[in-house]
Amino acid sequence: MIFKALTVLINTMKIKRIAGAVLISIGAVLTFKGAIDGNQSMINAGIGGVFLGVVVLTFSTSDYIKYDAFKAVTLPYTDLSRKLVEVLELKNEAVYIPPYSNLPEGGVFIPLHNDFDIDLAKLDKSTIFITDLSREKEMGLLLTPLGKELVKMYESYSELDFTNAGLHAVENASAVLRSLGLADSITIEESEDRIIVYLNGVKASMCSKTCEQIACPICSSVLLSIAKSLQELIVVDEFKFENGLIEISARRIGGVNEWM
Amino acid sequence: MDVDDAVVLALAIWVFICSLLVKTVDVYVTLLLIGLLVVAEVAGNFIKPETKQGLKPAIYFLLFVFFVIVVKKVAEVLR
Repeated sequence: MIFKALTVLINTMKIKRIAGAVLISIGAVLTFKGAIDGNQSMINAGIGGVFLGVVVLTFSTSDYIKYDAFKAVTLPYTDLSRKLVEVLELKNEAVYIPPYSNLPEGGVFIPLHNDFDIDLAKLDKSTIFITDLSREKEMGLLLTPLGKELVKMYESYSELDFTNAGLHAVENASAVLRSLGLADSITIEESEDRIIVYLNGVKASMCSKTCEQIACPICSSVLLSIAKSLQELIVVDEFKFENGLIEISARRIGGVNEWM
Repeated sequence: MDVDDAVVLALAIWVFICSLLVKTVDVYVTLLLIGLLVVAEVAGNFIKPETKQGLKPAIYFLLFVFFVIVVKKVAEVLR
């Protein structure tokens, strides 16, 4: 009964907070005892305990879920998006649109035709199926990028707004992905309008050929970050995967103003 | 082990070593401050921004203690 009550208490209060509080308490008692006895080592140990307790309490705010849980939660949404593309028989690669006035979080446009055209002035947050148009070249599917929340995390961790920040800013994302245990590194190579992204050690193995249209949140976040940092539309050319290494070939196709 | 755990473990080892080797409180507190500053700088890009902000009060407090120690030592020299 007591054990059960203790387990419930630990689960509700979170183990790190309890550990922090215990360390601070022990530290305070040791410091007090050391001061009374005139024992310098005990005072030092007490100060160390309080110090560590404060650090543990500070770090107790982070909550992590298990990798299996992450996959179980994310995969159905990715599958749903892919199914949508399959049903609509969209065969073309995705175009990543950087955030602009109509789409403040950016977007992913999957065109109906290979020879596509986009009128960014006609797109907005509430549009998904772009079919009500006289020109068939402009038809397609507009989705909110699956990696938009990760992009917010990259910007928040690096304390930098990626808008027009250049490709080197995107490489900051690798520190965040590493700390979240999602990938090991990101390397970006650029030659003229071509961009090649190497994502090493990606843990979530949900990659397939359909990533060229609907990428997983990790790859999607990197591509959206690139589009945002260059303020240009990016079209995906190819995805290659090999033993945890993902190679994404993409192309810059011009800024937002050019597609208005 | 995630980055947060590694940071706490590194600081715990540092505190343990300092507790064993240092006898005076002023040197001990200064070493704790150095440890915390190094960890905040090295792991800054890998920890949550909120956690980084949370470490700042501890750093400011230890800096204040360090300032008091410096003033005390200067006063001792001047006397």
